[in-house]
Amino acid sequence: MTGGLGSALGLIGAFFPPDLSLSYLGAALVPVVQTIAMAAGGMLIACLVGVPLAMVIGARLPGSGILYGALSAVRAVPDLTLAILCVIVVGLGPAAGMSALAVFYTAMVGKVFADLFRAADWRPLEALRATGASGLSVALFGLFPLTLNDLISMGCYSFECAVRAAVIVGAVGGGGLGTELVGTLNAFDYHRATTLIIILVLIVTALDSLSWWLRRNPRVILLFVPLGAAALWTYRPEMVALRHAASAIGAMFPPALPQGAINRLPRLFIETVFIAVAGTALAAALAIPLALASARNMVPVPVASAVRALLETLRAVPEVIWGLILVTLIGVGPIAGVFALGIHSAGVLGKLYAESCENVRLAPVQAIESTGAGRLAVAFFGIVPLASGAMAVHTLFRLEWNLRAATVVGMIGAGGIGQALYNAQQLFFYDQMMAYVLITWAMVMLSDALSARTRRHFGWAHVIG
Amino acid sequence: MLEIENLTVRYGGTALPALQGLSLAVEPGERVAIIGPSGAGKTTLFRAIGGFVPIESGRIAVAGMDVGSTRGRRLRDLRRRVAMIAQRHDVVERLRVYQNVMAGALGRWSALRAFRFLLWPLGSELDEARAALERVGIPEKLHDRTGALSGGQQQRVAIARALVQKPVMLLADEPVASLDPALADHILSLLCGLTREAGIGLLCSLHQHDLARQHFDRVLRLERGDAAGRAAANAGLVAAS
Repeated sequence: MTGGLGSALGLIGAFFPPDLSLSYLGAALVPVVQTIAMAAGGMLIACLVGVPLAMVIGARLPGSGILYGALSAVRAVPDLTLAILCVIVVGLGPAAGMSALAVFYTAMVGKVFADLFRAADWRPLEALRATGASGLSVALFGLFPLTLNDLISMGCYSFECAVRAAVIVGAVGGGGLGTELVGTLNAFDYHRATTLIIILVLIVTALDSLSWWLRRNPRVILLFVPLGAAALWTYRPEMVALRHAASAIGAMFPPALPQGAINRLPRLFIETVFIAVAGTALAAALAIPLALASARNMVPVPVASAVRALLETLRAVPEVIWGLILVTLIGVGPIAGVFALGIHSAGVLGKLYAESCENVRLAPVQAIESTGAGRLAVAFFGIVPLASGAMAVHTLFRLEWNLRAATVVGMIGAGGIGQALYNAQQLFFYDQMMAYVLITWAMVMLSDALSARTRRHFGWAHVIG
Repeated sequence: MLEIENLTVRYGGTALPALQGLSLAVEPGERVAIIGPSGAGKTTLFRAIGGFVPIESGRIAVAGMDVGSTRGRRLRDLRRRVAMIAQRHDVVERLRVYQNVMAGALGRWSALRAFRFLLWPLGSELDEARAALERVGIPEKLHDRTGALSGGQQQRVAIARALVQKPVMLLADEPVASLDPALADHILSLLCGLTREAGIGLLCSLHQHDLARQHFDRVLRLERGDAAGRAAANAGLVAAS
C-alpha cells in the first residue's frame, strides 16, 4: 500500500506540465463541442417528451399516477448506469451518451415539471374546464402559460447539469470529454489528461456565469434548440448492430447472481458505505483549513481569493472524473473512491464552511481578539465553534450525497457495489450486471428515501450548494 | 496606566468624527465611569484603546505603550494587558464555560497550546478556570455549555475570562445594560471589588447615572454633538458629579 502510494506520488508529477500545444488544443475542440452538443440534444428530447408527460400528469389524466411512479423510478437510476446500458445497446460514442442523457433528463424534466404543474393555481383551470374542454386541452391551454417562467428557469438549470452529466457519461464510453479523458489515461498521455481537466474546469466556470446570465435573459436558451436538433441528427444511433444489441439485452434477463457473488454482497454494501463515510471525513478534514484560509474575516482578500479558486477547481471536476484519474494513480479499488469523493467534496464543503465562518456573529470574535489571541487561536476559540452548527449540517448533507456518489464512482472501478457492476460489464456477464444495476438502483432509492425522512425529521428545508 | 490625549477617531469615509479632541487618564486601581447617550462614541473609545480602530490624531498610551504605533505581535501583547467586557453576546455560546474562561489566556499561549487545550485540557488549567469562576461566584458551572447559562451568568463568565487575562486595565462597555437592576448592582460591585483588589484600572460605560455615582470614584459624561456642537462638547470629558 505504501509502495502504491509512493508510486502514486511519483505519477502525479507525470501529469505536469499540461500539453498546451495549439495542435492538441485544436484536437480537443472536437470532444468539447461533442459534449455540449450531447447535452443540448439530450435536453431537447427531454423537453419534447418530458413536458407532455408532465402535462398528462398535471392534468390528472387516467394513468397519471403510474406514469409519475415510473418517472420517479427512472430518475433514481444513476446517469452512469444508464450510460453503461446505452453503450451496450447503441455502441461506444456520443450516440450512447446522448441517449443516456435523454432518458435521464426526460425522467427529471417530466417529474419536476409535473410537480410544478401540480402546484400551479387551479382556479383559472376550473373555469376552462367549465367550458366543457377536454382534459388535454385544459392542459395545453391552461397549464403551459401559467408556468412558462418556471419552465424556462428550470430549463436553464437543467442544461447546466446536463453539460456536467455529458462529461460523466463519457467516462464509460459515452463520447465527448469523458471518453477523450479515458483515452488519454489509457494511453499514459497524462500531460493531455491535465489539459482536458483544465478545459473541464473552464467550461464549468463559464457555465456558472452563463447560467447566471441566462436566468436574467431566459429566452436565449432557445438558441440551443437548433444545436440540439443538429446533435440529434449527427449522433443518431445507427442501429447497424441491432442483432447484437438484441442479444445483449436478452443476455441481461433474467438478472442472476451466482452464490459466491450473493455471499459477497454484504461486504460490498459495507465497502460502499465506508467509501461514503471515509470520503466525507477526508473532505471535512481537508475543507476546514482550506475554508479558514479562504474566509475573508480570517485572511487578507488576495489570499482568500486564491484559495477560493483552488476550491472551485476541486468542485468543478465531478467525482467520477476524479475517480478516473485516481484509479490510474493508485489502482482499482475503494481507496480511489474515497479520494475521489474526498477531493470533490472538499471543494464543495470548503466553500460552504468558508461562508459559515464569514457569517458568524462579530461580538464574540472581537472579544477573543481583545484578549491578545493570535489569528489561529481566534479561529479555534471563536470562529470555528460559532460556525460549527452550520458546518455540521453541511457535512451531513454531503454524507447523504456521497452515499449515492459512492455507488456511482464504483462503476468506473473505484470500489464497492458499483465496482461489482463494472467488473460484470467488463467480463460481459450481462445477467450479473443487470442484477447489480437493480441492486444499486434499489440502494439509491433507499438512501434517497432515508435522507428525505431524516430531513423531514429535523425540519431541514433543502440542500444548499 | 491609561492616558488619552486629544484623541480624534473617524470611521472611513464619514465626514463627522466619532470622537474628537478627547482627553482622559485613569490611575492604577482607579474606577472611572463614563455615562452618555447611545451613539456618543463610548464603544468607539473602547475599541480605539484596544487598537481595533485607526486613530486619526492624538495618542493613547496603555502602561507606557503607544496604541497607535503598535502592530502585530506587540499589539497582541498590548491587547492582553487590556481586558474588555461587552454588554452581551461576547462569550462563545457553543464552547464550555471553562473554555470561554481560559480564552483569557490566549494572549500568552501559543496556537499549538490553544489547540491542545481545546481537545485535552490539563488539570492545572481547569483549576485556574475554577479559581476564576469562584471569584465571580459560579464555580459549579465549570463544565456547562456556555449557551445554556442565563444572561447574568454569561456576564460573570466574561468577567472570569478578563481575570484570567491578568490585565492592567479593564474596559467594560455597558456591562449591565441587559440585566435587571438588582443583578446590575451586584455585577458592578463585583467588578469594582475585583479590580480594586488587584490594583487594576477600571473604565466602565453606563447608562444609569445613579449606579455610576454609587460605585465609581469618578463619573464623566460623553456628549453626542451635532455637526456644530460636537467639537465643543467633545473637547474634554465633563465631570458629571
